[in-house]
Amino acid sequence: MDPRTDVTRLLADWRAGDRTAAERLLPAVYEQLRREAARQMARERADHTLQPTGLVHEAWLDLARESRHDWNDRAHFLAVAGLAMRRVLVDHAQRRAALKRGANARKVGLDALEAAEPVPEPETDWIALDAALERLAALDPRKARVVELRFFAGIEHAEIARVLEVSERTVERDWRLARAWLRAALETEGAGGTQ
Amino acid sequence: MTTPWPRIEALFFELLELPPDARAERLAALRASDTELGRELAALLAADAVPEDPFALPSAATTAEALAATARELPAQPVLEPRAGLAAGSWLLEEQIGTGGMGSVWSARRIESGFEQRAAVKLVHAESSARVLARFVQERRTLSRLEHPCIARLIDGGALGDGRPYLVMELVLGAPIDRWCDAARLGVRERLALFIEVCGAVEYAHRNLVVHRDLKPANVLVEGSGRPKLLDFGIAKLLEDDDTLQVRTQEHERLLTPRYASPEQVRGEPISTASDVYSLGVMLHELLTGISPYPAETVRAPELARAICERTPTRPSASATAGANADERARRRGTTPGALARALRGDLDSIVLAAMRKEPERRYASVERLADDLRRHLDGRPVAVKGDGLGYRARKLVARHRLAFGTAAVAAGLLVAAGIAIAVSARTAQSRLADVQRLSDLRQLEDLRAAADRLWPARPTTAPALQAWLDAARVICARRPEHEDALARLRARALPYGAEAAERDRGLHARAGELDAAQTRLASMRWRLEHGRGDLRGLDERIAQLEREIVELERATAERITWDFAAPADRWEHAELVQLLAELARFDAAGTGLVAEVEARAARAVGIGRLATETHAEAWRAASAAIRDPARSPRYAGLELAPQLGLVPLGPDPDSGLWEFAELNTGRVPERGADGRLAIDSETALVLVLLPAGSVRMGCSPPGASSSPEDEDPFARPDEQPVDEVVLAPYFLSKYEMTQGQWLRFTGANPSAMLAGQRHGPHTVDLRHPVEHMAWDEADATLQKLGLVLPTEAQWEYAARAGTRTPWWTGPDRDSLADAANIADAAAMRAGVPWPGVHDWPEYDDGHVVHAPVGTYRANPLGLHDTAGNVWEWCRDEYALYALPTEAESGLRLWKGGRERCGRGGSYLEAASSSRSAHRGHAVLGAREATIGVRPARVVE
Repeated sequence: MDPRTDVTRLLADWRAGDRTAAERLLPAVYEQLRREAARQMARERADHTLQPTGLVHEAWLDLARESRHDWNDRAHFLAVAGLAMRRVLVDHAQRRAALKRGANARKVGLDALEAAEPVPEPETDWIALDAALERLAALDPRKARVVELRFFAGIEHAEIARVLEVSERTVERDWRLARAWLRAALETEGAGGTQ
Repeated sequence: MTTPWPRIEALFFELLELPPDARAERLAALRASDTELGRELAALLAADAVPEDPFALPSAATTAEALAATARELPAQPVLEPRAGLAAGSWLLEEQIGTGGMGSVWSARRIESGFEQRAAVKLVHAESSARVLARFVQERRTLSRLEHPCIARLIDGGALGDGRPYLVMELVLGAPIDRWCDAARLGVRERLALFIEVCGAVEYAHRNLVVHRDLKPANVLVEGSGRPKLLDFGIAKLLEDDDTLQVRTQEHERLLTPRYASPEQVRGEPISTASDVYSLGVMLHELLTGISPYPAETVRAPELARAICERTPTRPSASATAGANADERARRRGTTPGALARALRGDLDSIVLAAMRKEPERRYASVERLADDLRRHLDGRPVAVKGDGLGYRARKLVARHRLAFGTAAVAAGLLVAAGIAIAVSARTAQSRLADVQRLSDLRQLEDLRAAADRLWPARPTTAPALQAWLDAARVICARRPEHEDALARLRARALPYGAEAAERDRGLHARAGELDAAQTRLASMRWRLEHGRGDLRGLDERIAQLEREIVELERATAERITWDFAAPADRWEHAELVQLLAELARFDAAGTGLVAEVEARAARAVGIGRLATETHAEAWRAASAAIRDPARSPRYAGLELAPQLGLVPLGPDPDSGLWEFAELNTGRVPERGADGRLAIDSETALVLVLLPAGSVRMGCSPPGASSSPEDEDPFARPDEQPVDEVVLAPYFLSKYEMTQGQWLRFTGANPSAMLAGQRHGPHTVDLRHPVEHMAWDEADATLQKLGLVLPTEAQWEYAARAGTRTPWWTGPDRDSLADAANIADAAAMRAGVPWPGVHDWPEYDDGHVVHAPVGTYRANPLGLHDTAGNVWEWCRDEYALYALPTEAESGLRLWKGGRERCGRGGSYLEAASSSRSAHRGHAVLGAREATIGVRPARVVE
């Protein structure tokens, strides 16, 4: 099925009160974001660098363009987008980790190295972050959602507040504690040494 | 983790609010009662205290990088061969205009977004190596940070279906700078002025940490307007990349053009902004002299490379007279080899050689310094590179025309203080001072020209400034006889004019070619006469006739053109005086000069005030009374309208009941016929309709998406949503699109691409057709001079909707547009121009291929014609989302930072859906299109 129509239908279900729709929405939004990322990479206009916020926003507009929509769906879409972006990035990190292991086995040509894009420094350990976030979600799901929306979808506090239907002050507090908690958790982890 | 999470959360925030001492105390107490809780809270507080993300949590940038990497992994598709008609995004390739090692460049056209826009599309070859691709990506990055009027702009970019990247750049229609200068026969000063502009663009790139690395005439095109444009940042380097790897340099060496390459580039050494300074030096040498600074025999790459690294370049003044074609090269610079050499000797020799020094650190420290020195040379001030000798500086001081000495005594004092070696008597200083002051007129002329451009619109408020301008201009013009006397006195001191010099001048004369031809004919006739060849009847007579002509031509071409003097200061002063007199003649030319234009403008400024208060006073009283009266003009709700300068009331439109006014600067006042309708022709002025205050629901929604069915439009596009209600104050809006005649009368030029006189299908364009093909800022500036403005999108849509909510003002279906709009139609098909929009509705026939005379089609309920179709109409707003707020009264969308402006209404080239009231066209600021015109508005004062 075309992921777009799927997203539209699922959003409608969600609005109608089906809370499991969010989980079911995920694969469709995931595909949508991947497409959008590819499209934006292809364009990379002067005034337009690839930014998570822009990406999520464009993905939404794209969806809106293709379907009859209600602008209130945006909040619902964003709620899923954070989760979807998290999957996009963590999947990618896992694939890369696998590639690296494979690449060590054989020599990589000089050309390939030169063509490679600079690796972001310092490199984010998406996999460890994902695991930590999972544990935070077990303790306090809302704080994990705030992190997801802020880190992965690049959404501002005010909008996160609308999406989660809480006050902006609550989002600020959630963010502060979640940030401290994740940092403490990742540090402990780093000392233990994951790949 | 025995403590429940909510308690940890509560304690965390409680501790955060305590002052440090109290916090430590409380933490110690907690730890005493529960060790693990205490440790956990301490860890959280420590983590919270770390300022910003040094830990490995993603920032926007790292997220973006990871996303980019993910996107690149998407599968590639089969290779596409570039050809005419291939689409690169929304751009259609037209024809290949260039090709090279890296790829090809195509002219392209974009039609998708409504406006037709042309550009250059650059593609890489399909088999390109990863390195070439990387460089291409780099060019895109480089260009994306450069925005300068003299650098070809990046418009768009993307990837073809097969994943190959492409760049869309501003299409520059021009000639390489060296060829352009020769074709235009630019003299040394003009060449320098143009070159300084090029320096400005290079300097701008340097300030943005970009080194071009391949500066050469072929990469600097000059457009018809005379503006140079820097192209091809393909091997440009970002200075902050510290990867000066050997690989890159070797690759680079293969690509660059050795003739302009610096020694460090040839040797593969690190490259800096100094490398561009060097290339500019070579270019300058060639522009000034027409030949390379290295001897002609070093054409082959290895010798040239050695020469670049080892040989001292030839001085420009020496190059001026060197080589077989020195005469021809000098002629292309409007001079002779000797005179050219003299003009280059000294400053320009020093400047070029300083830019071309072998050691990067001994060159000009920046392009700006190079340009500064060139400017100093042009102004007659001492150049920085030649810091030598007080005598040199004193000479410059005397010659400097911008100098305004207070008194002769001060002047003499300065000259002495400067240690001038020659004896200066009080009397010569006095006369020299007079010369200097006189020559400052040249600068004043420049200032006056710039000031005249600001003195708009012609209103009583600007009248005093216009008068002051005229007074200043007349003072300067009155000094013309003095300048002529000075020139005559100066020429009396000229070096003797020998036969050789006279012969040379004859060659420079405008009619020299005629004389040559006549002499050749005469020689041929005499030979025939002597040898009895051909038809000899009447030959004697014809020879006599020709001889008379030749005497006449010899007299005409005997005018002395070049003057030479023993003293360099005299030589310089002569050049300045000749230029000043030519400028003055142009400035003061009867009827066509700037003085005449400003006189007319000042008269209009005064006259316009008088028209409102005297000539049309009665008409204005009647108009104000009628508009104020709710019984007679219910739509204006009692509006108090004061007389508006420059407008004449024309009475209400018989159908709409709205009052209309003629704009006096743009033509003759039109008259109403017996039926009350206006008679419009190519001479008549703009007609402005007074639109009452009101509100407009801008935009529309797709069916089913909105709670208000009235807003529905099956063609709704995302940028037309969400519907936004905007409240507007009363304003004037033109009843018609501005015509070519109106624009031409006011500006003296007609920018239109579909120009009056051209035939398109069954019709010939005339001055009643809409003016088009002006960039947004040209439209904006011209209207400002008229005291008019571009309408806001809200004002436009309010007027175009005229109270309707349907997709078109004519109704819900496109068929309702019949007789109301000039769009892409069967007429265009018949004429063999299948406009892109025609396929949607091929049966429609509006009778016109391109635009039609304004007012050809039915007016909307507000009495406005052609809001749908004919030409797009530029609006004031940036192309921005409707979610953004608007300004009170005008409804201007409050947003700054975009590069696109909106246009409304569709055109003869588009389908019916583009002429919907809600449809938004958009184009970049500089776009000039044969489909974009203007419908002026005016603020109610």
